[in-house]
Amino acid sequence: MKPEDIMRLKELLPTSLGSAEIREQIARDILRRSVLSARMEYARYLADVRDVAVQLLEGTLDQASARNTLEGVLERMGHSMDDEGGLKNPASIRRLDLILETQTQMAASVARLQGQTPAVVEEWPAWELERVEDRALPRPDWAARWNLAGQSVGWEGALPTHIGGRMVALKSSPIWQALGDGVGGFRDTLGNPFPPFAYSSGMGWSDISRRECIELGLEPDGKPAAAGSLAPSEDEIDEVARRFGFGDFGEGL
Amino acid sequence: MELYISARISPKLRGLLMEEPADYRKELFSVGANALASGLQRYLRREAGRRHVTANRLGARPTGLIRKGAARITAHASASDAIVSVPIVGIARAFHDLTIKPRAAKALTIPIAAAAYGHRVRELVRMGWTVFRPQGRDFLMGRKRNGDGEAVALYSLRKSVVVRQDRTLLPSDDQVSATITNAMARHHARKVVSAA
Repeated sequence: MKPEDIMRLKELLPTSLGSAEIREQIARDILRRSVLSARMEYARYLADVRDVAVQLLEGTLDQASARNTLEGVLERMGHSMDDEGGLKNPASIRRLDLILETQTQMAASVARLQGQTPAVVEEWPAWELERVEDRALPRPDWAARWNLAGQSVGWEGALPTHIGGRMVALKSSPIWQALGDGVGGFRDTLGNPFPPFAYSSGMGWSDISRRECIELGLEPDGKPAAAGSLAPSEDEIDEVARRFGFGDFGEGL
Repeated sequence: MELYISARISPKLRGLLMEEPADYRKELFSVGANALASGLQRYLRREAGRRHVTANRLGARPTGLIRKGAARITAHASASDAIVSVPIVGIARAFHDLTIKPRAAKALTIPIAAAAYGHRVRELVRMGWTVFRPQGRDFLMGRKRNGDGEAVALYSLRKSVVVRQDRTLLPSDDQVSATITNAMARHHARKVVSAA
């Protein structure tokens, strides 16, 4: 499935909760399948976020134009258009970039996981976590996060950074979930076993070939990659079919 | 927008694909597609570092358009084909010139100052700029509100812009074909050796 289709599948989750409360009170799988933004109760706005995220993933819209569309919506909703308040202001440039980047990175990761057939995992059994996007202020603690996550899972299918200084693990390793859970007390994570592992992170995956994997001392285990399914219900499937514009065909045979 | 590129594969591999059952064709295509997706990511990350000409000239921070797009490349395969999605606006420039025209506005706003780079006019106003068009001129100027600096030229106004083809934006057809073919051939060889 293409990332833009995965984005279309997502449900809208208006909420009055802040980001810490969302993390504590809403199940991880619901968050994974939803378009939401802290303290944003307007479903109409979230639908527009979903629409522009789809266009970003299709490569038909650039980030500045996507923000421009959402700024117009927020202005009509009566939000202050001063670029103040940082992440607390839904209309701030930083917050708009955050929601768009998080949603598109997540959809792309799920699409990538769905493409991990047994043959693909056989040829590229591991991922390396590395910087794939620049950030003005990159987090300096990725090695610490990696080592704490690795220790918590007994380094199952993963290499500590003191071996080669790289962050490499089998696609099946539980380290990816531990990293996404913020093991070690990191509160900025999203609870997913795939990038982005933390809000506004520019760290992502690169494939590691079977040969390089073995050279690094990681023995491929033949297990599938960590799950990235959106697991929608049947009702959700019907709703998405309508959203795709297939219409209601009535009762069949 | 979707672009379709036919990758050349060796006659021997084509013959193999014709003979094999659909499941195995899909398996091979998934390997070929993943090889291309991974290779494109590496290629585009390298290229992105060389392509900050406008941002560097203006002294602005790059928007990261190519690196963001590279991070969102995905691949999927069926028994008949493989699709690698490269979600980067303007990536078709690798194959032909692009003529850009305004969708709704009267003119394109081409940034000519660091402050304007990566931002629409609306955003600049939100960031505390007063933006105006000098009478009869084809550019926009601005002054930071609450600032004591002079007005500066921010955007050039154009009816359309032609962006010339740049084939190096993506790897060559030969590189694409070799990446796919090598990965599929290697996977098939592994299967043959494993079965022996």
